[in-house]
Amino acid sequence: MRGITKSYGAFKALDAVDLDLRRGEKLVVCGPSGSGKSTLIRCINRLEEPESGLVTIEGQKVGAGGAELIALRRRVGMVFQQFNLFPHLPVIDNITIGPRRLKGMGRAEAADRAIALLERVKLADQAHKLPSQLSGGQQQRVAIARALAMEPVLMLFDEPTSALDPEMIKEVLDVMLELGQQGMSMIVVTHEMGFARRAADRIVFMDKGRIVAGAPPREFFDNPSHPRLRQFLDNILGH
Amino acid sequence: MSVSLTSFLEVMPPLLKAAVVTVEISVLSLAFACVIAPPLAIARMIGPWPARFAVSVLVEAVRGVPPLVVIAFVYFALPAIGLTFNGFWTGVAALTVVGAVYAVDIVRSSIESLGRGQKEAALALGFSVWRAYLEILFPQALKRILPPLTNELANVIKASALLSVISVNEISHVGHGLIFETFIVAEVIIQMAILYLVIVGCLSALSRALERRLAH
Repeated sequence: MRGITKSYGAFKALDAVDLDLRRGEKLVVCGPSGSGKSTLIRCINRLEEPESGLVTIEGQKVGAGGAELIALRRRVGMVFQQFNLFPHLPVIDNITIGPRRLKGMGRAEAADRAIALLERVKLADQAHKLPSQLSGGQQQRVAIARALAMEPVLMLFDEPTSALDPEMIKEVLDVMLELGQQGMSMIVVTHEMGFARRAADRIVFMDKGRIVAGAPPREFFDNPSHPRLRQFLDNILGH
Repeated sequence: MSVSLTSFLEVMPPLLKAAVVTVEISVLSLAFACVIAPPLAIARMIGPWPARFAVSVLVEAVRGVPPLVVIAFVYFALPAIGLTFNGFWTGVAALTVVGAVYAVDIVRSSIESLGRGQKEAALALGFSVWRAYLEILFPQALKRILPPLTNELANVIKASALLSVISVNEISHVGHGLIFETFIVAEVIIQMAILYLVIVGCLSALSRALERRLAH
């Protein structure tokens, strides 16, 4: 992405941000709240409309609307802080609704693949429950399976563990770690620095709508380049 | 004034026949209203501005006048532009519009109460905005739509009594006629009340059954 800018009134949420991701790369985005992390990844699939700038995915420009944007969203999975599962549908239908309605996949095939995905996130026994009957961690793993059902080339995670009890964070991060090891391209907005250290190929730090530092995990943590980053790391790793 | 069983039975056949007409008009107009209200509501939320404007004007105009005026408009004014309905279809058309207009706002506020996370999840999966509203948000909102909608639709059924002014042979018109022909008053009124109660009661029962199926 090139020169992505987004403001809310006078507040500049993103200030001409440039960012590149290689296929299969795991990128963690961190930074203080209000630094523009979520806005950044929401500009990738245009849940937020940037004022200026360009996003390209596999050589294809992400347009402002229409059929191209919809086609692109089908190839970019997104996982939200609040899970956003469809509460009126059982777990399995949450996963099959995308492939069935958007790709015209048959009921049986979609269900088989949904079960396989649920096995991957270790929830095969929960297929027929409603989302409200699951714990937060389980719901978030279903949300990951729902996004994977569209066979995305890129997965976006918007603070996927911020709404979870501490004990459930690990089960979600484990699934994400495994997904990364299987070669999925991922952009993860998170405060989980342990996850960042283990899973990320590269970590970027944002402040006031800009990317101010970016490095592989070891260098990022052991040799922070920017004073604001040093202060951030001190604050979150300090205890 | 005493109530006699003989008189009660005497006026029953014509009133039952009239009840069939009331039911036919109600079922048709409620069905049409329920079919056109969701797209109208969604058009009002996310349509291009001419569509939003048109739906808003329709909603405000119809809501702002008594149903009787809508009936009179369809019956007396539309023929001027070449649209002529008989009494029965005037009833269906007018009550469809009245029902749909009230339903539009119920559908809209129920969908808006879902929160933006659901819409974003549907968009992120690759649904178009229209399909997200129709296929994801509207089905979810149904549970919230049903109770207030049932109330409004019951009012629409009761508004069918107004069709007596254009001589549609529904319960109220036939009932009034019977009173003046036979001078049987109490038996007719009581029976009219029972018939309306049964019809509206069926709607409520249907709505509760639907609600139970949607419960989650």
